Amino acid sequence: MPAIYITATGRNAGKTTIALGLLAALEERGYSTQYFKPVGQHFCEQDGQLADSDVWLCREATCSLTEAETMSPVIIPAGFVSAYLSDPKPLALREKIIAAAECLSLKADVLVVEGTGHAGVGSCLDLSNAAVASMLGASVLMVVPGGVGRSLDEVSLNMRFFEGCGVSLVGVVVNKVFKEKYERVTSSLACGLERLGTRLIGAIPYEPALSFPTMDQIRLELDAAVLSGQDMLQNVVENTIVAAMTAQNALRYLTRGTLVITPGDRVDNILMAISADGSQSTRGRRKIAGVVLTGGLMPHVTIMPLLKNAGFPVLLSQHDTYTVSSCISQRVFKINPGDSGKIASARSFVRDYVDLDAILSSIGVGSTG
Amino acid sequence: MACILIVEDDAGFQPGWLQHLEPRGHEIVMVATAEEALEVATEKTFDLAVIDLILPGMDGAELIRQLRKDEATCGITIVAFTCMLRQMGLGFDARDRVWLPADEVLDKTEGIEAVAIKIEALLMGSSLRGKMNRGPEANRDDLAKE
Repeated sequence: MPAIYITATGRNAGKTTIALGLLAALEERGYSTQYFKPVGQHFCEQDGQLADSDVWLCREATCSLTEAETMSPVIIPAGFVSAYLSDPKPLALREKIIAAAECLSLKADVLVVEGTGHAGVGSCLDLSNAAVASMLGASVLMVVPGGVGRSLDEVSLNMRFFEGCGVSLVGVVVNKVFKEKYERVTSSLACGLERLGTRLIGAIPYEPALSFPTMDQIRLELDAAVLSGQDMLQNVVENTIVAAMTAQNALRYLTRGTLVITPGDRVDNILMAISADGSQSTRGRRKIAGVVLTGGLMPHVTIMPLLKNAGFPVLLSQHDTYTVSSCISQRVFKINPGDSGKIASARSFVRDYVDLDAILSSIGVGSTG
Repeated sequence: MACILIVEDDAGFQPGWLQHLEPRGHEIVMVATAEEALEVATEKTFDLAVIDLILPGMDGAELIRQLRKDEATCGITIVAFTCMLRQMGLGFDARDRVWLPADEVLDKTEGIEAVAIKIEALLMGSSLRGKMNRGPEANRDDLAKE
């Protein structure tokens, strides 16, 4: 069956964003689709089924009724690789993947398969992206982060790996291209890719909003308690400040959707956040997305009613300020099933910036659009 | 009869507590600060504590959190006593227990007499809960004794 295998040259390149967009674009053209994540590393359990997080997202975004475990046949919990290496059974894992793919094929015209990381990821389990794509007879769409030189180097390296497994490359989609460099990057990449023997079939501009976390994602990441504003945890964080300075200085760094990180005993900064939020930002969005109080320090009881009245959620983390800010700045926040705005953006990006006809003809499906 | 700890720094309220709770046969221990309350709570076992939230030094909410953390005092029925929430038009629900793990938050503006009646009801409820928590075996023993 026609299958497109979305891979990347590294982590967090935007494979899931492209997959979401492709699924929607194919459906819009009248093709039935199934999302498939043969090997998953970041999984969670819902309704008694264990599946990769991307499966839960794509399953909900496409309103799929397919069993999540069928869409996510192999997941890698801690210790799995060591156990496999001491008693390798490559056939069993491969059979699991093939059986799941066959099951999904019965329900769809096109299988949209998402890999994990670069071409070689999974080699330790004899399930590299290249090996799995070959096993499924899928053609590969490679996602690279915005840039020219490094992207071409990485495409070249990854191409060799796929070629070694006899897998054909549909082309490359460059993601997160800075708008001010868009023309230059896309034209240089198109030239460079042609010299490597492949082609550029999409260039998606950088949209920072796709990686903005919600306060609920921050809460989960920090394992923080909610002191107030439980019903505002979907507030989007566009900017983060560590208010370890005096309140009058911290004020200068507040922009729309700011997350204020401050020790719980810094009453001045807590009051600053409350009063700054009162002056609403432009375009109807609030200035303060939320506050994280650090060090497990609870504010004085007289402050609590003010926080309960504030227009943002307040979280309490047991970690110190440095740990909290590092944790948030280093984390790449992915799209969640409930992020309808981000899912809509992913769909429109693929529709507007990716040559779907080129993909369809490469996998042997005629364009009906 | 119950042993009740009152943490109240307002000298104007202190006689009222004694006037309304002592005639009901309860033993009252009155302190004016959270620090004193922590000290006395380690020396004596209380059935119920009424804690004013705004206190000099450590505030009442912090005192409640500390009592809840200590194995010896975590089981006390705790009533927070304040006019703050009502004055700001705010309610108190289960989600607030993260910062205020009290069993009940009573409004200071209602006056001590009304609050004392609610406390009596709470004491009856906690005593009933205590019996139920002892389970059917314990109840059977009680019946056997009767």
